[in-house]
Amino acid sequence: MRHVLVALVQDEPAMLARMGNLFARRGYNVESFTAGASELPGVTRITIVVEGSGTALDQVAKQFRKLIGAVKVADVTADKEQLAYEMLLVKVGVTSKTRQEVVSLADLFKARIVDVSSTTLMLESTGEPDKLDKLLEVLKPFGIREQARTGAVFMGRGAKILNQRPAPASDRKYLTE
Amino acid sequence: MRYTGAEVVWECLVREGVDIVWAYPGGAALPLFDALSKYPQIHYVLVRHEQAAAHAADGYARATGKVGVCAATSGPGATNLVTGIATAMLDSVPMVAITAQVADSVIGTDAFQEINITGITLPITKHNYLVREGKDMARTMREAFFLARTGRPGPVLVDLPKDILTAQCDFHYPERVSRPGYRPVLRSTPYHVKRAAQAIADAKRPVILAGHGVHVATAWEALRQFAERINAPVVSTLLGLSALSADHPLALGMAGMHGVAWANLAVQNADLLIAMGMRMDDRFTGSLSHFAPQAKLLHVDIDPAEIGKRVPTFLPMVGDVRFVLEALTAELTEQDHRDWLAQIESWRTQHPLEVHGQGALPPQEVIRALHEITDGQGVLVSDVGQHQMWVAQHYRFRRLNSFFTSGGLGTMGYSLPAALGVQAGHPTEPVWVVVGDGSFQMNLQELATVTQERLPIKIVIMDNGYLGMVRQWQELFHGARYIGTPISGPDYVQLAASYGIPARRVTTTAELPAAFAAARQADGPFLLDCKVDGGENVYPMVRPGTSNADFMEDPRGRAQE
Repeated sequence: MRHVLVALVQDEPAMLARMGNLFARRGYNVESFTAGASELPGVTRITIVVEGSGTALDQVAKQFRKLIGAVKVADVTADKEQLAYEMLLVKVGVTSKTRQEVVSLADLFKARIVDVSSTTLMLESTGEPDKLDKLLEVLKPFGIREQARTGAVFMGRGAKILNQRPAPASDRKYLTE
Repeated sequence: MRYTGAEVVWECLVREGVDIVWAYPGGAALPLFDALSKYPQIHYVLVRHEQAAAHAADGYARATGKVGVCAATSGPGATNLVTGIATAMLDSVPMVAITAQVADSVIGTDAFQEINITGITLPITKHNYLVREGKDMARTMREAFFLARTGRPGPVLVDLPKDILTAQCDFHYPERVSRPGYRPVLRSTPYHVKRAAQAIADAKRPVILAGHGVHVATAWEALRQFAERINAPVVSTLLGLSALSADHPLALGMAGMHGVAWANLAVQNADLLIAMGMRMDDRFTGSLSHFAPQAKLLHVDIDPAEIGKRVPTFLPMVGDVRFVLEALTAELTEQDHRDWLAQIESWRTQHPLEVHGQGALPPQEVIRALHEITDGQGVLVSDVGQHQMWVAQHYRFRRLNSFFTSGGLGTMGYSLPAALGVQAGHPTEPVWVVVGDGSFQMNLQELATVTQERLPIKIVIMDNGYLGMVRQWQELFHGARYIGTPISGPDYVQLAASYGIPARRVTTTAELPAAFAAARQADGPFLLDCKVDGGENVYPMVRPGTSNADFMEDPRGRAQE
């Protein structure tokens, strides 16, 4: 089953390697992995889409939470109230005969044509991953020369936010008790 | 005041209360060792191999509960620490490993003795750091100690480039540190405590499983009170031995692959397992599909990732073992399980732990003699293999937190170097090392450190000329083809003599009491080379992949019945 993990991690060296190690060690193939600045300074938001069984992934999420520098890790797979967006760039082969057909398909999918050459068109589309899959499917017969997908980012609907900022770890309390 | 980076390291260690460090110098580490001359309050122990420095820091940490510190130079010095760091990781031992690194300006160029040690140790440390600026040094050291000892303890490595060690920097030691997202949960919720108490009150055949977490949480007294309150037997994991005195009527000893029969039968027939700071290791559970089929599991651990990892849990309780035990004891009234305890006693009578050896010196007799001479109160370090299991079975630990061995990683060569650290934690009495001839030869260079530090370590070599545990598996599962397991060695008595260590050879059971008395009476170190029967197997034994209730017993014992 496909799982989606969303995480906030401190922006520091080797964090990427630490996360990658969790999945590599257990032989998971990560479908997509995105990283970018979050609303918190010094904190990166990570979205990981990965294939795996529920119990095994539960263990990965737990190990992920244990990483020093992981501020928040959530498995949002079951969350219905969320949006998922991904960006796609795709270079399609065209001839003078097929060019117009690709342009109409792009219109239909609300994809933008961002580059044109005598033999190719480059399309940009942003949307739910399923929609991008469908777009690629209809473009396939024309010949997909090159494609780049960013991987999806997810965000829950409504007022609640992923980060309920945690209290700092209390070293002293532990040591005196 | 300005300090060099190296001075900052030692200033930090002083503030963390560190007074002993096991280390080995080298090129990149020169500034670090040079600055040590200004810190006479820190005792520096030169080991003979960096692996030993890590094991010594590990042994010290297990014996004292304090963070053990080891240090090495870059490259091979750092890689030699790896086995010791992994050993500490698998057994949740608080350790700070300091490695020197080539100068920051040449990192990544494959400079002489450069290795990416933070990359190598990424999966075997709780966390690690490469310090790239002097101003980060103090905070990093503070965090390293904080992370090593809090929550589920573990090793933390700090890698320090040579130019950072020599550069001047300001020094300010932060009073506190915090890491967002790092909040070990120490206390269970009242809801969980109530539910757990109800499950315990409902249980007819409860068994408490005591793991290493009991030691880590210093929960020995809390465990005893809890066990007495609910009148439930206590089974130990390998590292949970000495969590409750073996003399206690509720103490059953170790369960698992080589666990005693009555402990395994108790676990397999239980209706409630109360797991305290243990991680359901495969050597403990045996085949998971056969494990404790009638039991609900109440699992207490400070690490949420351990709960439900291998065995489905009826009630998870994340928290510090001591706090949870105290909360549960307070919540519960006295229980009575005399029928259940009587049942376990009858298993004990039916399947006693016996010595069937026919040879002149059965290895189990060596452990029993060690028990006699120390009255079960000794401080023991064992290595890994058959002798380790015989210690676990035949030595009755009457003293709390008195047994140190490599459990999770099963690191051969652990015992002698770890004893350097255990001895530092117990300076006024001898530390006993029980070690096979195979394990001993993995780190025997540390005899020189024993002599150098004048440590009263008593080394008992269980010398059977085999890598015994592997030989046992070859006998039982590989058609008795002994490939690569017969092992030769030096004359250990002469070897000890060349290090200035008195020694004796023992070849019969009758010689044991006098030999052990001589070892104990010697002021300093002593070595006993016990020539034990090489054909002995450890029984009981649970065949891999089968139920812990279906243990193999010593065939010679069965023949006599």
